[in-house]
Amino acid sequence: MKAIKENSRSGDKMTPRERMAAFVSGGELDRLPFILHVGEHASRLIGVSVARYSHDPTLMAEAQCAVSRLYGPDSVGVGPGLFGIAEAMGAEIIFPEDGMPYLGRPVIHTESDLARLNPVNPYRDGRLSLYLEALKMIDARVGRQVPVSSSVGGPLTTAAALRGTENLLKDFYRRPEWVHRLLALVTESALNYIDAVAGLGLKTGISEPMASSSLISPAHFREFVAPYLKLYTKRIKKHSGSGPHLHICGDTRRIWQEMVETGAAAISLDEMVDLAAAKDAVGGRVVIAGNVRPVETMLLGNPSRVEAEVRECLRKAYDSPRGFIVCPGCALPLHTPAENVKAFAAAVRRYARCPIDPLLLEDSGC
Amino acid sequence: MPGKREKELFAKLKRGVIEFDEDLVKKVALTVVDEGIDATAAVFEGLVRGMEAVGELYEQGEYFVPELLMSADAMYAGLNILKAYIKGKNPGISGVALIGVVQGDVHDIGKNLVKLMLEISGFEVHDLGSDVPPEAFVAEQFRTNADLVCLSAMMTTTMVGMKDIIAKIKGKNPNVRIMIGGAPLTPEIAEKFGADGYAENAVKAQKEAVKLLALSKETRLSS
Repeated sequence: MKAIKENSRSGDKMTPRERMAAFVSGGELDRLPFILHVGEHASRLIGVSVARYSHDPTLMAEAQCAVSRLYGPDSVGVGPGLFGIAEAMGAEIIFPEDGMPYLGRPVIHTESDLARLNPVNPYRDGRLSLYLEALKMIDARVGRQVPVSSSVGGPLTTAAALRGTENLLKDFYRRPEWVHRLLALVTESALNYIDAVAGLGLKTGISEPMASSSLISPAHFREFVAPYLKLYTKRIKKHSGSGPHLHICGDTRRIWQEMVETGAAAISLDEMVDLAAAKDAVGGRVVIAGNVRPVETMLLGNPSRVEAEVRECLRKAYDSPRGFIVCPGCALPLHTPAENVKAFAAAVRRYARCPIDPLLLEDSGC
Repeated sequence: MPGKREKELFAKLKRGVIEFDEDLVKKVALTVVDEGIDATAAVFEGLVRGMEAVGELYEQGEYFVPELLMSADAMYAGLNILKAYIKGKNPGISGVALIGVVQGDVHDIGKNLVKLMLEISGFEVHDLGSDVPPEAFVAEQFRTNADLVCLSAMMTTTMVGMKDIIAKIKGKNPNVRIMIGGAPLTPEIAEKFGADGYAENAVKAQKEAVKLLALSKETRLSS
């Protein structure tokens, strides 16, 4: 196995922890931060299969520490992601040996199915305890230099994993009160996990891909997602003093205000969103994060395309009033070439150095 | 020519689909059958018009996926009653399409919506379902002599397999048109993979399919 070389931190004068503390408090920065949304891709860095990675906290910790060493993002961590809470509640998740895990058949159909559902015990149910173990190890190894955090699937995404996406979307109309009961249950599960992570002194972020207008109306977001996201953020704030990082992929233009109103401290936006428009709309109220194209650029592109796009994101949003964090529009695809991720990190180190020189960010037209 | 009674009933079918009122659609479909009214016309001037209107509402950002699914259910409720009484050929497009979600992927809502939109415009659609191996696409295209093959994928890990499927199908039959879609895909990636077409949602997919079919027929006529 190729030895992992330490990433050159050229120009960095602060550790990620120092940088994020300054970022949050409005202090002076050496450069803008970046994060990477690395889930299963981390398994590539230590040469293990996704299935093995997903079932072994030592491997998770090893892999995420490799992410820190190789790429140097300003946050690392691990979490049950989109399906882990649902899995712990009984959802069927299929783990191909070496591909992304995916949802099996829906498991909640009837009233009695719902009645039998219980909020999770994060120390015992599903694979949640593995994530808590891994977080402990990651924090012990790199926590002094890098903020470590977890992340959890949002209420709608979790409910859909149990009920089946198509079924749940139709349930919005056929039996909305039932949907609310399911959402309340998954929320309780998430809160239990958030509490357990807080017990380790760590914070949790939220990923809610199903909530964008690519799938549901803003009205349905307000009815079925916002009230429960607010409960998540309230709990996260109670433990850590600040709102979470909320990631919703897809087209979120029509729900930015609602996303802010959930209490999130940062909103992470997908590639199809115009960062400049987001900055104008809500940049005065939250941190904006985004939005290099994960597939076209990170997976299928090359280092110079990556660099160009990082520059473009900075150009659009570096001056967002509450702050801007560079990151991919969504989770890094499993097979993203390491050289592209390194190029991402290098581009941030080069172009996001503070004070930002807007001339350096200008579109060279090539 | 549909008379006043027919128009009244077809308008109710259309409204039933748009308002996803399954009870109304079923009631009216049964009335159509009872009164011996032309079932084919009821489907195409009632249900399908409704679904087309729903497609437009979706394009305009008024309807989203839950609404599409509900309307589709209302439409199928009517179709299930009327289809036994449909005589003669479907007055829409004449073409055969094959559709499926690629190997390793089981996200099929998009695929089902595309299939629906293709069917309402007259395609004969063969649905291979999800997690479909490349050889199955090739074999089924050959068996059905499909003019158009539609590939769907929701994940970056599975969409990369599309390039291979496209090469295999075109290797056997260069005249087949292939279009791809799904969240991680873009027109640029479609081109890179050798696809003939791409669509970002089911409504656009139907338009793209019609366009590709026309091109395919042109090529065949001139060869």
